[in-house]
Amino acid sequence: MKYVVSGILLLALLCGNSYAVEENKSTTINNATSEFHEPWLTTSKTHEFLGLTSLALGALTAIVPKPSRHNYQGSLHQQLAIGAAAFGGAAVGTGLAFHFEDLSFKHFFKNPDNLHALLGTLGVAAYLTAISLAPHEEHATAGMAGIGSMLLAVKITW
Amino acid sequence: MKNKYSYIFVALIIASPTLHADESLLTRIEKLPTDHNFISWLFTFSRMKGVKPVKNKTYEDECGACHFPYQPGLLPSASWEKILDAKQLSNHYGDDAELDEDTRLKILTYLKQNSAEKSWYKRSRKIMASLDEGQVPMRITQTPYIKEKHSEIPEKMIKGNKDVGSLSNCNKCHREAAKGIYDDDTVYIPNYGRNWED
Repeated sequence: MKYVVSGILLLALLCGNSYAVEENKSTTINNATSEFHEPWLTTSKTHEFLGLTSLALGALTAIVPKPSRHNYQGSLHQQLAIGAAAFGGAAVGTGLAFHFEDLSFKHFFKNPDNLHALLGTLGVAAYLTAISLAPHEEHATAGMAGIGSMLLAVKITW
Repeated sequence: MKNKYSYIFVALIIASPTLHADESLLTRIEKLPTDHNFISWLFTFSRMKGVKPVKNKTYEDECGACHFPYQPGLLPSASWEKILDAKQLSNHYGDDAELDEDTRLKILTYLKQNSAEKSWYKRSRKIMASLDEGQVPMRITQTPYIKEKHSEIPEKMIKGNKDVGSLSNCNKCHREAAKGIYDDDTVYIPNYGRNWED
C-alpha cells in the first residue's frame, strides 16, 4: 500500500510535461534583465533548500532498507528520518520568519501560501509522529503522510 | 481498517489544493483551457510561482509598444473587459489607445482566456484570493495583494525615483517581470539596489 501511494506521489513529480517550460521562454522586453544577476543565496532560497532537503530525506527514509527492531537505533533509516524532521522544522521556522506577511486569514483556503504553511507544518508533525512511534509501533502511515504533505506543500507554491 | 484510514488521509492530502477553488474540481477542469487545468498543474514539474508570461504577438505589439505588456494573469477577466472596452480605450488612463475592432477583440479574447481566475500560477491565485466577491479593479496596482506587497516601500524609491516614477512600471524593479517572475530575489530598485526595507 505504502509503495503505491509513494509511487503516485513521485509520479506527480516525474511526469512533469514541458509546456510551462516553453511558457517561460518569453521574449525579452526589458533590456535591464540582461544586466541583472540574481543572488545565489537569499532568505527565500534558504527556505526552499531546507524544504526540498527535508522532502528528499523523507523519500530516502521510505526507500532505504528497514532495520529490525533490535538494530533500529543508529540505523540509516532512523538517521534519515531525524534529518528529514530537522530540515523540515528548519524550513517551517524560516518560512514563518521570512514569509510571515504572505499568510492571511482573509479567504484562508484560497491563499496558496496558507495551504503551503499548513501542509508543511502537518508534514513535519507527521514526520515527528512517525519517529516517536518507531520502532515498536507501526509508523509507515505517519511517515508516508508526512512525505505526501510535504510534497504538496512544495507543489502548491512551486 | 487502519489501511482504509490511511487511504482516506492520503486522498485528503492530495485533494487539498482544490480547497481554495470556489467550484468543484470537475467543473473547473471542464471550464478551463488545457494549459490552465488542475491536472496539468498537478503533474508538471515546471515552476509556476509567478504569473504566466505573455505569449501573444498582437498584444505585445499593440499594447507593449507604449507600456510594459502586463501579464493577463495579473487581473481578473472582468477587469480586462472593462479596460478593453471600446469607449474606455479612447481615454486609456489619460491617453487615446483606440484599436480597430478586430485587434481589440483579439487582444480581449487573449486577456480573458488567460486572466487571473483561470490561471494556476501562484501570483494569479494570490491576486484572486485577495479580491472580494465582485471586486473589479481597474488597475493592477489597485488589487489588494499588489497594494499590500508594496505598502512598505518608501515613496522616494518609487514616485520619487526618477528611474521608476510609478508602481505601474513593474519591470523597472522586477528585473524578470517579462518572464512573469515577480519574487523578492529578482527585485533591484534603480538607485537603491536591493535594500528597500529601510
